[in-house]
Amino acid sequence: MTQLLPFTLGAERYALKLTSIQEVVDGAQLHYLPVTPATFLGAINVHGQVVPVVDLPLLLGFDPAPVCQRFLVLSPQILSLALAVHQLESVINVDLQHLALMQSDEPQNCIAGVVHWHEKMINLLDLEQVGHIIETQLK
Amino acid sequence: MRIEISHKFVLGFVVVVGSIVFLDYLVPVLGFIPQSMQQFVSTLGALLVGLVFGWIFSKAFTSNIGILTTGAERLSHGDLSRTLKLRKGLVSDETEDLADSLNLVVDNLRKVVGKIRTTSVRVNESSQGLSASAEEMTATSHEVAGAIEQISRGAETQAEMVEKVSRVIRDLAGSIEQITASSQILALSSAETTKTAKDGGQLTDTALEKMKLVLSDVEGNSRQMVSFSEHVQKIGTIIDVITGIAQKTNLLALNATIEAARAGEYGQGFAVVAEEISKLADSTSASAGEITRLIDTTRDESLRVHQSMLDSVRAIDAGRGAIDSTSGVFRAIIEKAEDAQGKAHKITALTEQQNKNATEIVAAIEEISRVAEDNAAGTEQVSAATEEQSAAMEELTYASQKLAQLADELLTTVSRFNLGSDAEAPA
Repeated sequence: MTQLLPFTLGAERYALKLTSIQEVVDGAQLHYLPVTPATFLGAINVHGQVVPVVDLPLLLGFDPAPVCQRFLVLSPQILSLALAVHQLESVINVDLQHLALMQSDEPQNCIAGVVHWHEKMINLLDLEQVGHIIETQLK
Repeated sequence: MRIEISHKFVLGFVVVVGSIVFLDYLVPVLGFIPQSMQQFVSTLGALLVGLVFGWIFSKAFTSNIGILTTGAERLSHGDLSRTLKLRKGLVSDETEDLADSLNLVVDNLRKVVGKIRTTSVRVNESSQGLSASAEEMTATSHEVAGAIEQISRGAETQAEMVEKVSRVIRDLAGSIEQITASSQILALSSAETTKTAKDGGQLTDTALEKMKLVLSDVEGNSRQMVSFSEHVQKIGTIIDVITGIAQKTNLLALNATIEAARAGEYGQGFAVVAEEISKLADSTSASAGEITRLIDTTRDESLRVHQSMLDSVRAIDAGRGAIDSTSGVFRAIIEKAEDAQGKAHKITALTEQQNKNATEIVAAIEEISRVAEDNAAGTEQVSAATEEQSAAMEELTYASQKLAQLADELLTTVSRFNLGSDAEAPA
């Protein structure tokens, strides 16, 4: 069983594995980062570490994220980054045996696979691709 | 000296005989006449004396008779213009008497004829005037007859009109009686209205007092409601705090879950606790949300109540104004009703007077009706009298024309007499 933290991007539901998240911060002071793309909302201080905040919906082509002070801080081992999303939901336990993996011929859609849970379809976010897109933008 | 004709004859004879005797004695005395001649001279002288006396006498006698005859003939022809004048002799006789008598006759006749002529002319004129007057009177009496006829017709119309007026006045009298009854009812009604309006005025005063009480109650309630709203507001603030705590708790539980997941096998027990905490936080959050909704509902309700109380206060204020106005209106009604009562009493008195007057008018109209009938009868009588008068006038005209004719005839008759110039133009 794997624990996932689902969140919404527009009408779509996405999720991340709990193990890929360091923590969820709330009420952090958002600092503006000059000369960055529009997807960079700014930077926050997480226990002494300066972590940039990316507007995930805007990055993936959805409407921009609401002005919300709650961000997903990813594990530094994966990406030293915080994500702003539309809405956080409660943690769910799923069996990733049923994960339907996406075809690799579309590497730019940032979806690692699709999980069916309680008649709902949850896209598992591919953080590696997200990292690639950000790197591309920063070049 | 007057000597009658018979005496004159005797006197003549005596003179002739005396002259014969006297000559017989005279001739011889004279002496120049021869004796033979004396007889002859005396005879001759006597004859001469007889002749002279006879001639003078007959001459005087016949001339008077001739004058008288001529006068009588003139008289017989109707000539009354001249009087008889006899030759004046030494001695007068019966011929002069006869001439005087004839002159008297002529004079009298002249007077009579003149009188007749004058009178007949006057009669003629008068009868013509009479005739004209009678004709005028006839015409006038015809006009009078026409006028009387008109009067008669007018009298009939008058009688009809009087009848109509009588009916109308009776109807009017009936109406006036109804008005009297109505005005009495009106007086009663206005008295009742006055009483009702007074009761209404007292009721509005009571209502005003009660409304003041209600208003103060409502104002108290409003203050309480404001205080209640403030309390609810405070509860809302507290619930906000609770909601914030629940969210923070939830976040902490989420982060604890993440930590537990990163801890792997060793974090499983911790993950269960974190899940329970998360559920508690969710439950708290749900309850807080419920309370918030309730508070919102309560706030809305209390706002509505407050608003409706304000409305009530305004309505009560308006009602107080309305009741004040109503009170004024009731006072006005009382005044008007009392006024109406007085007027109704006056109307009653007036209509009673009118009723009496109408009765008098009916009596007067009946009197007029009787007079009109009498007038109609009178005009009929007058009409008949006028017709009689008209007939009499026509007879009178005829008679006066006849009279004029007779006067003409009389004038013609007397015009045979010639009265001379002094009598031709009688006055």
